Amino acid sequence: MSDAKSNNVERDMLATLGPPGFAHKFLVIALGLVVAWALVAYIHQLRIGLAATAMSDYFSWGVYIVNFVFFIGISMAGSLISAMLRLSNAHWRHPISRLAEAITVFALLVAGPMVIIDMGRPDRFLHVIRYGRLQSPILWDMLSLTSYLAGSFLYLYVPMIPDLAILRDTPGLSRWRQKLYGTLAMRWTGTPNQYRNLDRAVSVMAIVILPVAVSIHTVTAWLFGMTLRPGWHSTIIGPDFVIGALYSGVAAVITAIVLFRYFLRLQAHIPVDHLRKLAKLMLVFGLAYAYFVVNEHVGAAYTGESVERPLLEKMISGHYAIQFWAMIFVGLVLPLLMLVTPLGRTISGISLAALLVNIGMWLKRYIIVVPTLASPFMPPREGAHLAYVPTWVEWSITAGGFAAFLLMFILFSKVFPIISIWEVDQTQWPRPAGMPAIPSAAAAVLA
Amino acid sequence: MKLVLFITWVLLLWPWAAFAQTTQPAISLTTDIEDGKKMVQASVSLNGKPIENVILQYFVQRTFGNLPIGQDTTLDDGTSAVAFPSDLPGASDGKLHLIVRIKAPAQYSAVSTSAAFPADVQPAPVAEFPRALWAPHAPLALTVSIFVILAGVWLSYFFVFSRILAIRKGG
Amino acid sequence: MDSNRRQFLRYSLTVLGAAAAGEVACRCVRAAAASNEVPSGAAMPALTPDHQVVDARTGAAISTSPDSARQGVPGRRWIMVIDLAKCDGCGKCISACSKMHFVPPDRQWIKVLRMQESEKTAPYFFPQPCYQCDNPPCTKVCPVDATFKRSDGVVLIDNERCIGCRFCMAACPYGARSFNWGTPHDPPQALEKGYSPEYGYPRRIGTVEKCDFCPDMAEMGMFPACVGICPMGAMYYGDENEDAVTNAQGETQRLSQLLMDRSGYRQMEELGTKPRVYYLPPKNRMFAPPSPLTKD
Repeated sequence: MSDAKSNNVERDMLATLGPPGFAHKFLVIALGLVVAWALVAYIHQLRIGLAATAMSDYFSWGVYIVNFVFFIGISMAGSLISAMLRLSNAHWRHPISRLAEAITVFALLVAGPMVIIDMGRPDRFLHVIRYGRLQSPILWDMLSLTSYLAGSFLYLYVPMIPDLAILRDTPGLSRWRQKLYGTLAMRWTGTPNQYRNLDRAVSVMAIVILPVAVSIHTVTAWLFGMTLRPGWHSTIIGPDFVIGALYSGVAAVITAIVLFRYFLRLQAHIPVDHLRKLAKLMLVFGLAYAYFVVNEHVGAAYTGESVERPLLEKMISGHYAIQFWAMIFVGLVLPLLMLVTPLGRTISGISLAALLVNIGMWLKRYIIVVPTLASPFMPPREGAHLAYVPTWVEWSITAGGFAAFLLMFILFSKVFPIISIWEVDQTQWPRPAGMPAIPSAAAAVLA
Repeated sequence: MKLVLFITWVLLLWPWAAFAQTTQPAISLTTDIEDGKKMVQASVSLNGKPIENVILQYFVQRTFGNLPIGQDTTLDDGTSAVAFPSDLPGASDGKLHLIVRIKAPAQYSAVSTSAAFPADVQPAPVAEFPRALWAPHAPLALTVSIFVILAGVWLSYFFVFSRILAIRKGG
Repeated sequence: MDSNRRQFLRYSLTVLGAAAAGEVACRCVRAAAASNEVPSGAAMPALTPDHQVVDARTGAAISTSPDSARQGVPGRRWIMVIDLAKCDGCGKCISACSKMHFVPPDRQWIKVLRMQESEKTAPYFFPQPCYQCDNPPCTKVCPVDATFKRSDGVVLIDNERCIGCRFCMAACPYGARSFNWGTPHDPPQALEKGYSPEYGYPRRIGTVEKCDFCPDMAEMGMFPACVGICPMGAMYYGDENEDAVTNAQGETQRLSQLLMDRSGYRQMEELGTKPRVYYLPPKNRMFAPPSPLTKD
């Protein structure tokens, strides 16, 4: 890396932390309004109960659970980029690992409340802690989610310490920033011991966060897999959710990178090549996910088993055909086709594909949750209402979830450098002599 | 006067009608072993004399109704018998409460009697709920596994936290 | 002469009255001895006409707190047998249950479904209460132990603890549960006594409910509402430990014998939930079956 570039990273990152421009203010206000509207909708729901939604005794879960699974799904981003790529010594991850890890944290921060919003008695939330039963997959999900959130916080923060030290040492920043960076920088001065501790901490996190990430998607899948219902009671639902999370996680990272690159003018630091590498990852995960989708349905299609067949019919040609085929085309066929053509090497092609994947994967979560509820084992009783059309409350809260996610990201990027300065520009905190440039995980832990 | 006497006779007879069951036959219940099989035996007698050809229905009292266990007609010695339900579990007191009712002849059909005998079989004792997925207490394997996994993860977190503090101390 | 006659008449009427009272008393004692066992324990619960549970000796109301409702009636294992050959789909069981538990019209705790497994098999009416399974998928997934299995076989819901996550509703393959999506509108009679999981009212918003096998009634030797009203005697109820079930007409059968003779079965046995409701196949019906279901 040339000196020109190394100065640029720090300079450009400091610029992002400067006074907010018009775009920033506009986005913050717009997103803030959406979140405020979602709050209004939620207060309405608190007053009249879940009758504010379109859920009913047959459709006992709806859009809130779809959102929950979706946001848990994109939370895989951080572990993939930060941990997997770190452990495989892929250096190109440096500029984007913090952004990816931030996606994880903010996705989890939206997923958690989404579940509480779905509860009939959120005032009794503490009952889960007081009376919790370890046999319930909900407990497994809660334990896994808190562990993953805590781990992701650590994994976002620890590699940021040297950057916080850079900012601490930067003159001319406002008082609250000085105090914030000063406290969080943990008196980092780049000494060999500090480096050793940092390496150890980061390496341990990289190893631990991966099984925790796999566990969160697996236990979320088991919320469905541990029931007896067709479509849910599937042996592959755990891996299905993990691969789906990898797929939608990469797509979320690509979308975030494209947006930040544009708005914060980071083209110099995140070259197109990074996007192309991520696109390749997205292609691989997409093909793997397509394989899972085929496996999910081919068994029911072949055997025509009595409980599975009506469900499959609903998705292929019945009431949910539009959502199902939209998911297949928008989420799988179109983006994967785009990626194998020359279009998949351009930024617009890659970003469009990633956006389609995100939309398609939300539809996939909808397809997982709702059609099964429309296919009960026992025939519905006379006069039972068998339709689910989400209400304005549910859509408002969904929009609020996405808006909150983006808002947290934007605010984060105004307080902390979204690109890791010290990892991209290694002249900032030079590695002490004798220390391997990028230590392998095992060596770092054992050193 | 005749009217008075007639009325008196009628009035005197009505109380007797109320206590008329004393002129109804009596049934006594015992258990007995006949040809190696345990039987319930009922004897019907009226003022000490056994009555023949009385059809008796046997029941065991259960919580919501009486379970018929057989029917038999009395012999010339006034006895009838059905098999004792040796495989029927007893009530909470360990006994079978038997009821025997006269089905025919019609003039005796209101007569019944009951008695309790120790049951040969008791209901299976109710065990405390074992540790199970559906019970309040989880299977031990599940609890231990979750604890071990969480301990491993959070101990690693505490290790990382200790490294942060070490950085703070100047390394 | 008049006063003597009057005296005599008065005397006779007194004797008559005493005899009549004595007769009635004798009959009552016999009836009592022949029917219910007096439950053991300190209080003698009795049901007043307005469904208040009181101590028969003192008249004081007995309340079952949510915690005490977790204890099953000792030594009992409630069980139900439904004879599909006798069910004519009249729906009186639904009305009786809804009336007793003040169930709102948008839900049913016991359903009567029209079933037909395949094109050529016989259509039949299928009363379906909650099966109070012995391997209940619902209690497994409850995160807070709000729905629980008791020693007497009944699965109840404690709506003081339920957090409304509706996982139990997702888990139940029979669709036995309903949810209080909005503010409940219980009639005034439902608010007269304290809440107990044994009868499920007054309702709470954001909680789950379902058929409870009327354990408060069964404990006193009275039928659940659905069983007691069935005019066809299609529903039998009893204690598995006594190996006997009885229907509303008083026909008592030996449970094991009935299931053996009539080839009793459980709904979707292959799911492994071990329901406590057995069905007797709809064979030799005395009335016309429901019309065949059109393929939809």
